[in-house]
Amino acid sequence: MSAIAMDAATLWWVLGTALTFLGLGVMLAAPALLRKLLAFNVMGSGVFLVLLALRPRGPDGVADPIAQALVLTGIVIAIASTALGLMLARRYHLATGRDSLPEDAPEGTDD
Amino acid sequence: MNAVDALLALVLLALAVACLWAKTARTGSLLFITFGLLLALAWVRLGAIDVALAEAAIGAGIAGALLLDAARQFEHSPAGQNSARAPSPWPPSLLMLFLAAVLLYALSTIQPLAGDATLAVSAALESSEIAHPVTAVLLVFRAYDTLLEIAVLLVAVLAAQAAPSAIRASPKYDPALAAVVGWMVPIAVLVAVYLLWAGSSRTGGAFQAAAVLAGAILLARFSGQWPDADRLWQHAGVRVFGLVTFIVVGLSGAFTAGAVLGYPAGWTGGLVLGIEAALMLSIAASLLALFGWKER
Repeated sequence: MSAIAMDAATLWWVLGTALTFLGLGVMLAAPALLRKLLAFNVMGSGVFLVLLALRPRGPDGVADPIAQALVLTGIVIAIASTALGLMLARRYHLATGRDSLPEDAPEGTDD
Repeated sequence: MNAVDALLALVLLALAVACLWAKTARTGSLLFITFGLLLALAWVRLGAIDVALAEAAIGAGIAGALLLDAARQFEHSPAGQNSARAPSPWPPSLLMLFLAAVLLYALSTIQPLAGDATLAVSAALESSEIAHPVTAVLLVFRAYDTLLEIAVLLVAVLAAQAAPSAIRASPKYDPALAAVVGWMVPIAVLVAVYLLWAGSSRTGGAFQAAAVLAGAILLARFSGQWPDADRLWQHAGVRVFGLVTFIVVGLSGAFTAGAVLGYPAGWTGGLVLGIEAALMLSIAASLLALFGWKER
């Protein structure tokens, strides 16, 4: 039973690692601000998965309450930073008409 | 690992790739909402029902609505098509693969952490007077974290208000939408109050309740109904009410319970419910503020 439970946890932290670096890579490489914010959220979800999957479950199959509380806090902070990022991106878009920062845009395609 | 978990994990990975490499921001946002909802299922499989509720309501619902709202602005602009391009995946991907391999190796060497803290929570649960362990951690054992979390949310709202950019047309009146919303808003408000009430003994709590409440108010706003009620939520007092209540109760704990953020014996359940109710209103108002509103 414990071996099966271990395997299931392993699946989730492997997925969490994949999502984390998928998100981080796109966040670094993508020029568009909205795509960066999407990637930021995917990365966050990956980190949360790793955080929770590493904690052993209680006897009744319920996930560790401390890890759950940490992830809940993380979700709220992620939405706050996403919303702030979106506000800035929209403001920037209104002011310049661009959807990516000039240093990220390849030459000749942005304007 | 069983087949359902493996399939769920594969679909999540595929959705993440599809969302990040989507052609348009709108498609990406829609795929992100799908990703969030399926991630909620993964949380259920992990035994984290509280997180699953928050993921569905905040991670998929509110974040998805925010992203879709922004995607619309970026599409409907003359220069909006300038970087619909998907990211070129190659330069950082080798580095990412390397980092992922390092992290996987590090994680695989970690012994399953002994559940000391988990045991401590279940041992102290009796004395905390809160039956649900997650609520006990959030509002009794680690109340300071939650207090600061609310403060961070308020700071984000303040910062977002310094750059008001949400300029949108008034919603058009749509009789079908209005009829559906007329049914859904009362039900959503009821669900929010239930989640708040259930938080003390079962899964639920202020954050999930607030996200559902904010969703209900957004529905009402987009349908153009109850404009006066919507205006009430924009009052700054509603946003700070939860934090102020939390601080006042927390400080009074110094006199009544001998510790800041402590609760006097026998009063914990009622005080926590009161704080959570105040937090629900304020978090909902803050989430709404993050959407911005039209200047009048």
